Amino acid sequence: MSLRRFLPFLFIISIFLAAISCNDDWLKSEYDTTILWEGGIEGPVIFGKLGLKDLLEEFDSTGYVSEDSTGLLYGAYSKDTVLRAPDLLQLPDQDFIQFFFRVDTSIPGWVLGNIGDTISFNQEEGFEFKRTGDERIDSVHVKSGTMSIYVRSSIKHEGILTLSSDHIKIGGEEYHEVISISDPSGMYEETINMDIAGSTIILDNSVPDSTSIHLNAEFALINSGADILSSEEVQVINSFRNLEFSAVYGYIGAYDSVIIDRAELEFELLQGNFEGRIKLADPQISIRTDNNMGVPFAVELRDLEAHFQDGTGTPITIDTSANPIKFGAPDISQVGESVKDSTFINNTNSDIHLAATSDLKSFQYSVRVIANPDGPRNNFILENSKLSISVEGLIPLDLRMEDVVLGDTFDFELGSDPDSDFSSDDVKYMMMQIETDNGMPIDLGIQVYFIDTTQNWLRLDSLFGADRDIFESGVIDANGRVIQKTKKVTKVEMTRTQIDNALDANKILFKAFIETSEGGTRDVKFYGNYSLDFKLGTRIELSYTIEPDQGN
Amino acid sequence: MPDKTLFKYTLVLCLTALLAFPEASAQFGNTYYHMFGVPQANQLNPAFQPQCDGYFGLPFVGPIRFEVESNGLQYGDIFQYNSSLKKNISFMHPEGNKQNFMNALEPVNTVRAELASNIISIGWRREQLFFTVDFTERMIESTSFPKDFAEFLVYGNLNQNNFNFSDLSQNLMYFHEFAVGASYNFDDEMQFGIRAKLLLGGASSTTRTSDINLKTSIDEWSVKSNVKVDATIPFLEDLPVDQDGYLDVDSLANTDFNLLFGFPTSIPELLSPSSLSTIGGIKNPGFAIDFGFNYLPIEKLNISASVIDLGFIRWKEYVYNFEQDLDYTFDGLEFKLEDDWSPGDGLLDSLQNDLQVKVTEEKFTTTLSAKVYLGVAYDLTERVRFGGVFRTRIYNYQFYNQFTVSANVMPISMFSMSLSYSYYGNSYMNLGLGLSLRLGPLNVYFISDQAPSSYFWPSEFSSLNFRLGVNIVWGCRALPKAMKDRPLID
Repeated sequence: MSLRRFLPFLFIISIFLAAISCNDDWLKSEYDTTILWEGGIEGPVIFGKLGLKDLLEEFDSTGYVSEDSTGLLYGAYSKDTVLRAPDLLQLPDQDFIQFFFRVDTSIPGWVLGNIGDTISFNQEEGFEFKRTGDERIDSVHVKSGTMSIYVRSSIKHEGILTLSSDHIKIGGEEYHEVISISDPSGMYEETINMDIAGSTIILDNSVPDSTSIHLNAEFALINSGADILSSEEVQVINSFRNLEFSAVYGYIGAYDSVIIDRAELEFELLQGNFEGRIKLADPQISIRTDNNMGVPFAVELRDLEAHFQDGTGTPITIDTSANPIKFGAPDISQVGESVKDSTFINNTNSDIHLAATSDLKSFQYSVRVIANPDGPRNNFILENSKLSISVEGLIPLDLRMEDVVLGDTFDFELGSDPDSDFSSDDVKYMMMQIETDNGMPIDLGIQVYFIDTTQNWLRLDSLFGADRDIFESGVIDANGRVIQKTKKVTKVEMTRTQIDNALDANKILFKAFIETSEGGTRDVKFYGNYSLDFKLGTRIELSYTIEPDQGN
Repeated sequence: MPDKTLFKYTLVLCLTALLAFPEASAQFGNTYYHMFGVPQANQLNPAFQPQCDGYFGLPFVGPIRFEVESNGLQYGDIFQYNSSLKKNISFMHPEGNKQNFMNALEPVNTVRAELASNIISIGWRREQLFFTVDFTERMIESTSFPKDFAEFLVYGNLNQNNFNFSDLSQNLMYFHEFAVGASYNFDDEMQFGIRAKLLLGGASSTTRTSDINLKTSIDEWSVKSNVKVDATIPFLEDLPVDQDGYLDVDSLANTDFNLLFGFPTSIPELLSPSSLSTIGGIKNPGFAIDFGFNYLPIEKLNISASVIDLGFIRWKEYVYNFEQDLDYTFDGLEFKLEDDWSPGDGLLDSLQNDLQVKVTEEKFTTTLSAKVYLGVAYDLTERVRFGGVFRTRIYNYQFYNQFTVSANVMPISMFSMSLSYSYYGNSYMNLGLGLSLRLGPLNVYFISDQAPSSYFWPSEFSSLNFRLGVNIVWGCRALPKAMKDRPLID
């Protein structure tokens, strides 16, 4: 083996050794994996369609925003009250005392004939049916109640007492009751209680100012031979207790009562946290009835006043032709059905326009109800009959707004996460693009304030600087209706200071400055299909450093 | 044809091929193509016959090879030594150079890796024939991403609005390779070899189509994509799909597959005939062929050529074809005046509705990445050889070329060494090194086309490979068997 064989090998090795000795910095050095991300993102963030109806329903938590047949929106604030059948008519307990058998002078026993002979006595008598007013009831269908028959005999004879009446029908049959007086000691006494649920009591109104019920009695005395003394008698007392009806027919009487006394209809829609003035073009009050009693009513609105935010009020006068107003009722062919009716108090029959300002807080009112306002007539009432009365304050969104400012605050804590190393310095540039398609009849100005609550709600900065961004109203026609949306694209480049302040803030105050079209000088109508379409995009450029030990 | 003319033609052929595809190239282990003392050189050219009469490779290291390569990026594009910090920093470091990284990117960037380990590697000579039997576990993975993808990650959409993410892909193939080869020596002037390979597929994931486009603006982001992926996922049965054939993501999230890396976790299940068949890849058969020649036109000059890995695998078991066709526009989170407004949920629902993945179970075929080698070597002495190898790898209808020159020495019969220089694509700084030691019947070699240069010029290296082999050899000659040198070699 010669040395020459190794020469190429030695040559190669020497090159390697020389190279290795002079190029080992990278091999020995540590790796610094710090990352600086200096990119940017431009893209859409959020979009939406703010429907006017949805907005109002959100703003008005009571949720009484509706639209009429034309789509015009209105706020409706109502209070309901119900007049039920028992409020209108109650049946008092009845006692019909019948001294059936009594003699003025004693009758010797032999006058009565042979012992064991039967002597009959008949009696038919009408008894006055007690009333609570001037009602003239023809018939009562008894839902529940008790008829009591109390019999006492002090004569020293036995006998058979038969009671009947074609004014009382039980199970469709005339009332008929046979009572055997089997004790000739003169000490007989008995009470019979009958459940008369489902029975019918027919009353006689043939005599003016009188309502009566007719009862028949037949007494068959069986002669014991004893005398009948003047102090002795056979007494029968008929009573009706706890009568409740399933139906009553006839004139139920004159009912006249104030069922709502100085109630208040408060308008939440007009009590938001806003400044400025809203002038309503056509505020209204409606009275709606739903009546399934066979009784006509008149409703009178009384004590009507508009109350304002400052505590003052003004009375509202309604024309006498519109107040009280009569409402319909079902007739005898409509038993069990209900009749709906309504009337409106507006600027045609009242001076309600006096209430048409943004200061309006509520309407005060009382409700008087008069039954049978045109005098006696045939009525009917079922046990579940009722008269529902709804008084609504209506605010059609036909109005003008001037210098109205709405505001709300939201949490905004982009830069206050103690666990985040993200700082405003990492944001090199920020631009927001706001694109709107305004289909509402309002000029909408927007401003966003960055707030630091730890510094006594200090306004650190605003998004749009000293100016607010204005989104002009949609194009409206002569009737105040939007016929075309107005599009606008606004780009807001945030300054270094704005970015710092935005990230230092912990809340944002969102303010909307609203005026109806043409500077709030004309009335415009708000329809349910109005909307404000918006789209927010942003371009943000970051210079964000991620240290290698982060996340450990 | 005169020998010198043939030599010239060969050189011209190599250079023409090299220059024809300068933009598409990649690195592979070429250093040991002409190296002394490496029995498994026949894996690059089945015509090669080793110096020894036989060898037996130790399981798993007989040999084991690992390669990773990038077609565009170099180490220096990602990491650089910063002398002021005295640290290596990435291109994303505040002191790093992002633009340099972006400039270095190709339109489509591919990182490919392959790991292969021979469980069995046996070769023996019988007269003029040399037989080989190999059983190899191979795993090939490649990930591609377009330049726009990196642009989006590094800069967002700061500089451009439209991004073409097409060719974003990931491919993986794991298979067993059973190879039987033979080389015949024609009168020491010519050797011809062929090797047949039975391929048994284990698992795969192949991106067939990747057509993804993203358009961004401050108003909307829209993405249109069509992605098709064929996959073989062993032991994954009953992938939850709805009645329309779309992947049921909710059910998938709740599915307990009871698998660990795709394999059953219980031993009885694992050792069942069905499982063993799956593990062995019996139902995913494939075939490949290697062939080549080695010719000695004139004394001391070798010309050789080979084609290897020309083959395919037919995947038939546990196959799934995923297709996702998306046309999605993001306008922002939709604001709704609802108390329980949850924009994230709405976005997720929307994405889930649009990001539907159609699943079918059609059989599919994948091809291996075939390589073509052209080699020329000149034996200066019996122990010193200079060689040149041109190699092209064919992948996805593209050619990835490499040209390597090497100096090979064997100062003593128990030791040989090779130093190589490779050129591929725009990478010129590639020094390779091969060392082979034979101590009695034990042969150990380590070869890398890149290790030295990656150390000398770390900023330039874009790939790395090594091959480590441990063999038991017998019947070895003191000197390399020089063809047409009959007086010296028996």
